[in-house]
Amino acid sequence: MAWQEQYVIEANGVCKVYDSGRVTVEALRSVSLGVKRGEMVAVMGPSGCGKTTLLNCLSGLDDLTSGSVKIDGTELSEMSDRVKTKYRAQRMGYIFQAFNLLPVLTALENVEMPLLVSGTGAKQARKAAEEALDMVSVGDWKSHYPAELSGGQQQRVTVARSLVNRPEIVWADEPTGNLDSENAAEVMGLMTRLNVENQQTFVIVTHSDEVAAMTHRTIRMRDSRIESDGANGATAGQS
Amino acid sequence: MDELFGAPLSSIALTLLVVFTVIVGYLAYIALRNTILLRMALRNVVRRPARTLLAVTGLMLATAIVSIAFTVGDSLTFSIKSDATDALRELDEFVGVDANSDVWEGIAVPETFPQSLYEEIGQILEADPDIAATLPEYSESIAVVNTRSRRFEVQSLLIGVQADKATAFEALSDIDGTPLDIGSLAIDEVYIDVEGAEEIDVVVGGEIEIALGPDRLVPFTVKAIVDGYYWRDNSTKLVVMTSLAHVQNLLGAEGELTRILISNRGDQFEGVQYSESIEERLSDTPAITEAGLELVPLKADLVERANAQGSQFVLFFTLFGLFSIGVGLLLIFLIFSMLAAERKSEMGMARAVGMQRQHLTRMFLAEGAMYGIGSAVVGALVGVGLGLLLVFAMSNLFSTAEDFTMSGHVSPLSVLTSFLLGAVVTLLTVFFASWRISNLNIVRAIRDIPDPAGTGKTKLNLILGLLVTGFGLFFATLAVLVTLLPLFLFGLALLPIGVSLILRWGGISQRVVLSLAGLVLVVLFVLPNAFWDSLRGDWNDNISGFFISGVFLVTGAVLLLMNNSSIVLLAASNTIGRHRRLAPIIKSAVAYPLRYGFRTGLSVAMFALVVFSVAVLAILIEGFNQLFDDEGRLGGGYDVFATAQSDLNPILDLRIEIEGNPDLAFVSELNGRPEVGTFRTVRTADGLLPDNPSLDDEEASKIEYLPTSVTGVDADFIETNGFDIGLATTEYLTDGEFDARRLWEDLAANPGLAVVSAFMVPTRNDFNFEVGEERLVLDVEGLFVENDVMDPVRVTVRDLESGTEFDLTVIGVLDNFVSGGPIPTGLYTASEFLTDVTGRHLDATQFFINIDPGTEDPAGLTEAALFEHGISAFALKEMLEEFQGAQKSFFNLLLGFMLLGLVVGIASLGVISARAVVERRHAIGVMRAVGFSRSVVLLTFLAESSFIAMLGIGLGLLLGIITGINVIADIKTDTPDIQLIIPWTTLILIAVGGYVFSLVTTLLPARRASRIAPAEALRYE
Repeated sequence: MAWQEQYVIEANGVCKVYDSGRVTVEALRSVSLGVKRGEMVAVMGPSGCGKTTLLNCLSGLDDLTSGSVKIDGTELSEMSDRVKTKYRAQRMGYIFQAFNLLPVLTALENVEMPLLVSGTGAKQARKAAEEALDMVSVGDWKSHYPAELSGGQQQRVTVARSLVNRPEIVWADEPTGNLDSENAAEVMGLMTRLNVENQQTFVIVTHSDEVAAMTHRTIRMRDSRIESDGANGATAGQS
Repeated sequence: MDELFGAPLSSIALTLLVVFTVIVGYLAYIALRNTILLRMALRNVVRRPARTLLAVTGLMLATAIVSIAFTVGDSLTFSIKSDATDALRELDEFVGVDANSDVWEGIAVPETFPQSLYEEIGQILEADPDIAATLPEYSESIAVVNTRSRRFEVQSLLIGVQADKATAFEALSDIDGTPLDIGSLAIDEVYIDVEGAEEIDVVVGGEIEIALGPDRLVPFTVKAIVDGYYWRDNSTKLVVMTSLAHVQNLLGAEGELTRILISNRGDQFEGVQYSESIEERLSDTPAITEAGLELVPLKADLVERANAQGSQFVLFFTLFGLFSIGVGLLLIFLIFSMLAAERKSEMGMARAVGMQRQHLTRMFLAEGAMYGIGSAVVGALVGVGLGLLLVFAMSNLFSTAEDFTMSGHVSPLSVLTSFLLGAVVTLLTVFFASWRISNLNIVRAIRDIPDPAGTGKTKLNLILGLLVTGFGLFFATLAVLVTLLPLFLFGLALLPIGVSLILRWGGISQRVVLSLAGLVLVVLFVLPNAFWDSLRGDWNDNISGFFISGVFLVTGAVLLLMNNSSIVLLAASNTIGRHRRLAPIIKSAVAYPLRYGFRTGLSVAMFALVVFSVAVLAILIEGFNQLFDDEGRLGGGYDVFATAQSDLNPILDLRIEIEGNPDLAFVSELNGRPEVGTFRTVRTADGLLPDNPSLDDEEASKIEYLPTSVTGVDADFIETNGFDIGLATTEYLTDGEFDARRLWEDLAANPGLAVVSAFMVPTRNDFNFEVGEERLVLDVEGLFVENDVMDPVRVTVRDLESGTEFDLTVIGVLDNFVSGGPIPTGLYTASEFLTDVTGRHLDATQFFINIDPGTEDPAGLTEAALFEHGISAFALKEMLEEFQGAQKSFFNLLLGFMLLGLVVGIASLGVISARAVVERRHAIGVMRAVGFSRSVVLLTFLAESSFIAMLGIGLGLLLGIITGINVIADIKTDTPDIQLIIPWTTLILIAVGGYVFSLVTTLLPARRASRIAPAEALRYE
C-alpha cells in the first residue's frame, strides 16, 4: 500500500543555538527536510549530533533560533504556546526512551491522560484507553502502576498513550533504548504495524541499525547537520 | 524574666551554651581536619541562594516563636518592674510595724510606732555603707476635693516627712524646677504631686479640702505642684505633702511614725541591688526587732514579683505556643529530609568516586550547621522584632488598665537563650539527618531509586518497640499511683506506638500496623474525660493534658489517613475528579502527595496541630467569655461595689447613711430599707488547720500560721445578697443545688460558721498561673473544689491587731466565678461574731449597693455622695465590660501567637512545592508533551498544595471541635453555666486565611513549574 505523497512535516533552514552566556552551542545548523504522511523515518547519528534537538524542534517541544517548521502546512512558530500544546494533545503522540509514565498513575490512567487533558469525557477517555492498551497487548495490566510493569510493558503503555488520541504524527526518541532485543523487536513490530494500519507518520530517533532497518527512510546527522537522507532497502511501511 | 519551667534562665542558657560549644567545637574540628569538606558545604550554601533562603526561613520559625515568648515576657517583667520602681522613686526599703512579731503576741498590733525610736534606728541605718538617707514619715489615706471645681479624689495619700531629712532623701522641686523646702510650709499649706493636681484640676494657689474625720473637712492652700512625691503605692492617685509635725498635729498622732523610709546609694534604678545585703545585715538589728518592727525591702520584693510574673507569663505563652514550637521542630526535620533527598544523587556519586561515609556525614553536617546557626540568629532577631510588635499591641490593650504602661524591653540573656535553643535543636536534627543520609545505597542514590520498603523485621524495631511499650506501661502505672490524668494518657499513648513496632518486627504489614496504631490513638484521645472519670473519680489534671492530647490525637489521625490514602484518592476521584476539566488535575494533585506519604503526613500534621490548638482555645475562650458575661452572678445581684480608702471617717452603718443623705436617693430598696451589703475585712490575720489528719504529730507540730483575711458580713448583706455557693456540706444540698440563702442565714444565726472563697480550696485541675506569697489554703485530704459535697473544716484564725485567736468552722465555698470578682479572698463569717471574738470595733471596708434602674453614672454619684468617707466606687457592669474587653483582647493576642504556627505549616508547603518542582521536572516535561497546558500544570501544583492544606486544616478543625466539645463538657461538671459555643466565624476565617496563604506560598514554585520549557524538562534526568 503506498503512503500519501504529501509532506506532513516540512523543515527549512532550521537552526537551534543554546546560549548560556558563557558557552554557545549550535545544536542544529540549517537543517532542512520533509516527511511525508504515513512515512516512518529514522534519525540516526552519534551522540551530541542534534538528533533529539531536531525531534524537539520539529514537534514543537522546543523553539527554533531560526528557520521554519510546518506541520501539515501550518507554521509552528506562528502558534502560541497554548495552541501548540493543544495541537500536541490532539494531533501528536510521544514515545520516550525512559518511558516517562507518571509513576503515581496506573497504566490505564496514564493512557487516558492525554484524552482528559484535551477535554474528552471521562467515560469516553477510559474506553479509548482500554482499547489502546488492548491494542498493545497489555490490557490485563491496566490497573498496575508503572513500577509493577516490566520495561517492555512500560514501553507498550507509552506506545498506547502516544496513540490513544489517534495522532497524525508520532515522535519517538530512542523507543527501544532501554529494552532488551526481544522487547525491542516486539515494540518496533507494534509500531510498524500501527504505521501500516493507521497510516500514522513516525519519526524515530535511534542508535540502533536494526530499528532503522525497519523504517522507510533514514536521515543521518553529524555535527548538527544532515549528513545523508535516503530510503532503506526494506519498505517497512508496506505489507 | 529570670526563670523558665522553674529553672533559672541563666542555668538554661549555660547548659545550652555548653551543648552548643561542644557541637560547634566538633564542627570546627571537622573543618580544620578537612577544609575541602567545609568548602564543598559552603559552596552549596552560596551557589543556591534561593534554597538557602528557603531553608533558613523555614528553620528560623521555631526559634522565632520562642524568641517572641521571651521578648513579651521580658517586656512585661520590665514594665512591671518599671511601674514599681517608678512609683517608688528613691524609696528602696522601709522600717515599719511587723504585725507578725512576737512582741505583739496577745496584744493589739499598733499601726504606728514612737518617733523616739528613730534616733537609734536612724543612726544604725545611716551608718550602713549602702544606705544613702532615711526619712521618718507619717502617712494616712485620705479624700481630697478641689474647693473651686469640686473635683475630688478618694485614692489619695497625706504624707508628712521630717523636714531636715527630706532633701537628703529626695530633693524635690516644683514643676518649674524650683527646689522645695517642706519645712517652710505653714500649717495650712501643702504641696501636691503633679498627677494628683491634674486629677482634681488644681493649680498653685488653689484651695483644697481634705476629709480628716467625721464632719471635718480641713482647707489647705496648694503652695506648689511637685514633680514627685516621697512615696506612694500603686493605687494612690494623688499625694499631699507637708511636714511631719503638721500631719501628726492634724491627725492627733504627735510623736508617732508610720514608717522610716530608706533610700540606698545610687539612683532609683541602682539602689535596689543593695537591698538583699542590707536586709541580711540589718533585719535582725535588736533596735528594730525588739521594738516589734521590721525592715521591708519593698522595691526588691516588687522587682522579684515582677520577675516571677514575667516568668509565669512566658510559661503561659510558651505552653500555649508549644504546638507552634512543635511544628517548627517538625519543619526543621522536614527541611533536612528534603535537603537530604535533593543531595542524594550527588552524594551517591561522591561515594562512588571514593568519598568515605564519614566525609559525607561531615559535609552534610557542615552545610546543615551553616543553615542551623544562620537560621537561629535570624530567628532570634526576627522573634525580637515580632515580640516588640506584640508588645505594642498589648500596650494598647493595657492602656485601658489603671496606670500601667507596657513598654518593649529586650534582655540579652533571653535573646541568647532563644538563639541557643534554636541552634541546638537544629544542630541535633542535622546530626540525625546526616547520620541517616550517610547510610545511603550508592547505586540507588545515583539512580535516584527509592529504597525498598523493607519487611520491618529488624532488631531496631524490636528494641524500640519494647522500650516504648515499657515506658508506656511505666508512665501509665505511675500516673495511676499519683492520679495524674495527663501522665496516664501519655503512657497509654505510647503503648500502641510500641506495640506497632513489635508487630512490624513480627512481619505484619506497615499499613495494617500503623493504621491500627492511629485508630487506637484517635479513640483514646477522642474519648471524653467523663470516660476516664468513670474509671476513677479523683484524677488530677493540668495544662500539659492539652498538649499531650493534641499531639497524639493529630498523630493518630494522620497515621490513619496516610496509611489509607487510597480511600481518599478514590473519594477525590469520584467527586471533584468526575468533572471533565478537573479530572487530570485532581488525579495528579491527589496522587502525588499521597505517594510521598512521609513528607505529606508531616505537612498535614503541621497544619492540623496548629488549627487543632487554635480551634480548642477559640471554643474555650467563647465559652468563658459567655460565662463571664453574667453581671448578676459576679455581683451577687448588686450594681455597685465600693471600697473605703481611708479609715479617718468610716461609715458606721451604710443604710442609715443612705437614709439620711438625699444625694443617695438612687439606691434601691428592699423591704423598705436600702438594698445594700456591708463587709468588714480584717486583712492582718493568719490561720492554720488544726485538725489535718493527713499530717503526723511531728508535721502537725511544725505547721505555721499562713496569711489570710477574714471578712465579717453584716446583716444587710445576709439579707440582700445573691452570691452563689459552689460547694457546701450535705445539709445545704437540695435537688442537686446548694441553698445559698439558707447557708448565709445560718452563718448569721450560728456564731463561728464560715464560708471561704474558692481560691482557698485546692483544685484537681491545676490551670493556675498566679504568683504571690503563700497564703492559707484548706489543704485537707480529699477536699477539692470540684467535689460534690464537703465536710466541715475547722480553721484556727489569729487577728493580729487584737492578738486574739479563734476557731471558725467552714461549711461552704463561694462559687468559682464569684470568687474571681472584686470580693476579698479569704474567710467570711458574721460581722457580729467577728466583732465579739476580736473584741474590737471593725470598720466597714467594702460595700455592695443596688441602684434604681436608669441611674446614670452610679459609681460617680456614690463617690461624690460619700466623699468625706473616702469611698471609691465602681459599677460592676463597667468593671465586667472592662475585664471582658481586656480578656478578649488578651485571648485574641494569644490566638494570634498560636497562629504563628500556621505560618510554619504554610512554609512547609512552600518547601515541599519547591522540592516537587525539582523532583518532577522530567515528569513536567512529559505532561507538557502530552498536552498539559501551562495553566493546567500550574493548577496541578496549586491543587496539590490545596489538597495538603485542606486536609490538614480540615483535620485540625474536626479534631479541635470534637476536643473542644469534650473539654466544655468536662468543665460543665464543675461549672454548669458554661456554654458550648463554636465560633464558626473565627474558625472559618482561620481556615480560609490559612488556605489562601498556602496557595500564595506555593504560587511561585507552581508558576516556575508551568514555565519550564518542555524540551528542557525532558532533558533533565
